[in-house]
Amino acid sequence: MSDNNIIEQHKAPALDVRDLQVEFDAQGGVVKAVRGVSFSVNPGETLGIVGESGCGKSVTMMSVMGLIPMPPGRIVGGSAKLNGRELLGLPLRELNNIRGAEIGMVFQDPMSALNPTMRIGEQIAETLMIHRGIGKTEALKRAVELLERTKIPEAAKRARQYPFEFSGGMLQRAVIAMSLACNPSVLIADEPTTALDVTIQNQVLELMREIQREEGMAIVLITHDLGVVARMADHVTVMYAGQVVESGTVDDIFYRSAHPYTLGLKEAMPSAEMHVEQKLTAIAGSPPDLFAPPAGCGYCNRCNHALNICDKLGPELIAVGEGHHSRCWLQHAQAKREVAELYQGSKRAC
Amino acid sequence: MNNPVTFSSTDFEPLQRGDQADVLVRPSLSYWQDAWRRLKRNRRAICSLYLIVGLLVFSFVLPLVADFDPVSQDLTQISQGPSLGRKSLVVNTTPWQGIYADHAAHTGPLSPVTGLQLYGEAHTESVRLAWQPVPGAVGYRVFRHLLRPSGPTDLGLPLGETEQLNQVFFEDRLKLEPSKYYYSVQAYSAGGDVSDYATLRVTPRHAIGVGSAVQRGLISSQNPETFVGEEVELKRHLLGTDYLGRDMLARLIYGGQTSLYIGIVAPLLFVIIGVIYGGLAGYLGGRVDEVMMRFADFVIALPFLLFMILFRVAMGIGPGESGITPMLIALVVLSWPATARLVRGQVLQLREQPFVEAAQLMGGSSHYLIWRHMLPNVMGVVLVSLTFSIPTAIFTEAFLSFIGMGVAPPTPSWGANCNEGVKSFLSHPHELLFPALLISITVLAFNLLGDGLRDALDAKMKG
Amino acid sequence: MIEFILKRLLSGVITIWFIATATFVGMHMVPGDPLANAKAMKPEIRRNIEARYGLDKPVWHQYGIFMGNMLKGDFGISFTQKNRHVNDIIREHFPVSALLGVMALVIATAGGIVWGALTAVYRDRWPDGVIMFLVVIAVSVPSFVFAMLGQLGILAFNDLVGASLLPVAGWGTFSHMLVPALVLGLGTMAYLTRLMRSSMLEVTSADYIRTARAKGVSPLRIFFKHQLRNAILPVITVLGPSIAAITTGGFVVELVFAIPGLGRYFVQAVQQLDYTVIMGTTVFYGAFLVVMVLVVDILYGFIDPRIRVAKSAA
Repeated sequence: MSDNNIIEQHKAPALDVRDLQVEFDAQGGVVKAVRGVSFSVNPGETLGIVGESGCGKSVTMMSVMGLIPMPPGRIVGGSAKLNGRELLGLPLRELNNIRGAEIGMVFQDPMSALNPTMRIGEQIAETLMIHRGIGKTEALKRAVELLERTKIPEAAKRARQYPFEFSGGMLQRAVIAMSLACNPSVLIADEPTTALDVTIQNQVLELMREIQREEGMAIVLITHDLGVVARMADHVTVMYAGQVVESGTVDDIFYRSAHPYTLGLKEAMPSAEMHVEQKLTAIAGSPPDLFAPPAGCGYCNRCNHALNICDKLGPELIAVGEGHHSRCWLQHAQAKREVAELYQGSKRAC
Repeated sequence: MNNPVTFSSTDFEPLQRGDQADVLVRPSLSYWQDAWRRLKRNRRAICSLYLIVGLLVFSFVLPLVADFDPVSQDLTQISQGPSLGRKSLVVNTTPWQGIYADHAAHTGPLSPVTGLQLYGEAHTESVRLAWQPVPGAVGYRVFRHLLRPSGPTDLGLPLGETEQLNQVFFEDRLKLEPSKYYYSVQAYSAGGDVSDYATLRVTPRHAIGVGSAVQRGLISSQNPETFVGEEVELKRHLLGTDYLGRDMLARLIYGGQTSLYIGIVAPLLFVIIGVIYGGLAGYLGGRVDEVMMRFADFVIALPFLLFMILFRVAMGIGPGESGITPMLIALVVLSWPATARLVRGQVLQLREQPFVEAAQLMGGSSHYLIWRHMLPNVMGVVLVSLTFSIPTAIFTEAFLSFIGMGVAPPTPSWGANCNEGVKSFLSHPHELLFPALLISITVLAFNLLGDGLRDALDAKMKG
Repeated sequence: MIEFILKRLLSGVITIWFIATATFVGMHMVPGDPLANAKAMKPEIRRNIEARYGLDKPVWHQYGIFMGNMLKGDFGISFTQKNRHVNDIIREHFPVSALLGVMALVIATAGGIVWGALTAVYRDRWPDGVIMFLVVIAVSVPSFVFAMLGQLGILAFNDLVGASLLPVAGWGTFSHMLVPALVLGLGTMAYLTRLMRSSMLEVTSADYIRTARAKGVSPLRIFFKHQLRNAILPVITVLGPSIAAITTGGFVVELVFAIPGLGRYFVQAVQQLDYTVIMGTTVFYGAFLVVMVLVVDILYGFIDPRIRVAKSAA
């Protein structure tokens, strides 16, 4: 609704998701996992989607890709446009032409994301054979080139190996090589470094950045690690309980955050500059039950700044600055006094 | 904002709230309570549980309540199907004087047999046939068939030939049952010519000779002849009788005792041995564990049948004799390694668990560790494997008895009942069907219960 | 890989030795004269056997003779049939059993994979329900009942077509083998169907299937290239025990269908207490099963790259 006017569109976004709503039938009711999520990402830019486990960030991207199991899953409303083309409701045959070709996807656990009984090279070549219609020999040759490109040493030999012969970092490189095989315009990376060692994390992230510079694709980076977001993202969308609670540029989020939840996340994040005496603060409580989302703000019960209205009515996204929005009553015109307090808190955290 | 909502002045005051931290209100259940609760929700498993209890009652309680006799033979009722009660006609068993006709000489082809008819009522003591004489015939052949004859080569069982030229009757007293028969009569000439046959369908009713009825106490011994032509109530066999006239229901009840005894006791014993052996191997670990498990691997490879036979011979039981104990011993001696493996795997896993290490650090004795931490955690898997072992043991008993190496007549067991039933399967299928059905139901119930238990206890059945 | 095979071979040899020794020890634990039970034995056969096994010599000497004979592959002479070598019996009757067993195994494996995959594809819909119901029936009914029903089925079939297309018993042509092999394979097929179903369901929810879908692989290709191949692996691991089950099941089927296989012969020997035949066939069966498990293990090693490569690297 009002979001359309708020987000300024400099260029045509590579991926544009509007008001996406996803539900799951579960025992005992319907889980409203995604409740009107909107975001967009431009070519050559990286959008970080942040949130704690179960906030719906993965489900959002899976729904865009048509990867959620249906049933029990169900896309209730919204749209997802890839370079202007609607993805939701596309027949499987057409969707399959897009998956892997125009959108690449990198998953959390590289150890289980690859078929254990197929050679690495074959798995990469499979993508090429499907989308480029080239023969197996040619595809395998290209697969080796892709492995080289993701800096896997002895690529030709490695291509003939099986996933279990790879280390985690090497596997994630192979998965990236696979997702990049057809030069997609959007790369969705779902917690790509969570399962990896810290040093390996850096290498993988660096690789993604490098490839992005060369290819100019858009990256959607799903993570719960604010550190990764700070390094990689141009724009950040913070999700909570199936909704976007704050979105803006990486600077907006890190230096001018305008939502208590974002602040809570930042306080829960360790950093190198922290003083020894400083304590990491966990956010108390747990997210609301998505079987029956509360009438008010989902964060109300855990929020230290909650107002009377928060318990009664869920807030809309409110523009805080240019391209910076927060779903919080504290940003409402009538609550200016509280905002000042918030900013103070924010300074302490950074 | 184009928000139509109007706010009251207090809406933007800070929210005041009491100390309402999230409290978990669900009552905590012990592991077994929780498992039982989950099992109760599994309808199939609970039905199976009732079924198993029912089968145990059937075999072990029923004979205490009522009198069932699995051995006495009711020769008037052999291989009878199930029924609520059967009546029998009391008849005289004196031989038939018969019907004679003049013998007419005739040359040339014989004309077909005509006028084949029943003489008197057909019953299981005797079927009396008579027919018109065929000119030129020197004798007649009588056949009996269970199916309608399809041609002169398919007349069935040859009952006999008439002995005199003028004899145009035949009395059949050969193992008659109250079911359908096709009698065919054929004339033959001195030259060996055979006439066309005549066929008559006869359904004899159940009958009992006067003498036999007196013997069985069905009629009084005073003036028994007066009862001829009356009907008497025969002994009731709800599920019919077997090929020796023994009551099927009683045989199944006592057969169940044997089958369930072996099926439950053998797994119980070898699971206990397996738990001790596997637990010990897992608990001691290292070299001892390695040697113990190697030995277990070899025992698994031993061929069951041979050792079963060895035990039989060792205990002086020859072929065709019943051997419940050797079967039990063989099952126990050769089946424990599977459980041992399973338990060992569990114990090894448990030993690494933090709660066990913590108990160890706090100075828990090994006795305490085993009883308090190891056993309760192993019991789930053991219970499931026990439940799945029972159908296997029941199958083994049935299999061995079927090939004549297990329980042998006269001792009943479901497997032995099947073995006996096979002989008359085509004519009296109930003799095989009932014991087979009971085996199937038992095995099915234990399998479904095992599935339910596995789900309820969330036991990973990996060794 | 070679080291792996050698290791398994060695353990197989030890197992066979263990079986042979246990057989020998077991036979000697039996009190009294093992020949005493064979009442009708002719004196000449008795002398023959006594000389051959050195029954008058000390036990360790007898063990030496026994093991020597086994090593040479000489299983001795039948107690009940004059001058008939156990080797000849095995040579004559085992191929029949083997053929029947192989047919049953092929039917069971193919059926198990196909039905199991079908149930997984139609999960919680009626084909799944029907197949799983039949599976439950099949694992709960004793094999001899299936054998009897098989015969009944043959009769009904012949009645239906009005000609004796399928013989009720005997051996020789393909038509003799069809129903017995089907009956024999049924239990194993049910077991494999169950296994394949759970294996398929596990694979279906695996991450790499999601990856394949995200790559744009068509459902058909995912099913054949990714799901089926990975789901079949656990099925292959139980083929060893399945062969054992089919071998034992063969005893009953051969008995009921009057098939002149080694199984029927073995049961006869057991009923007549023909010791040499029992011992010889047992050791032979034991060795056969050990070898089959070994073959399956090695086969599995070739099919599953995780094992193949790990073993060759070790």
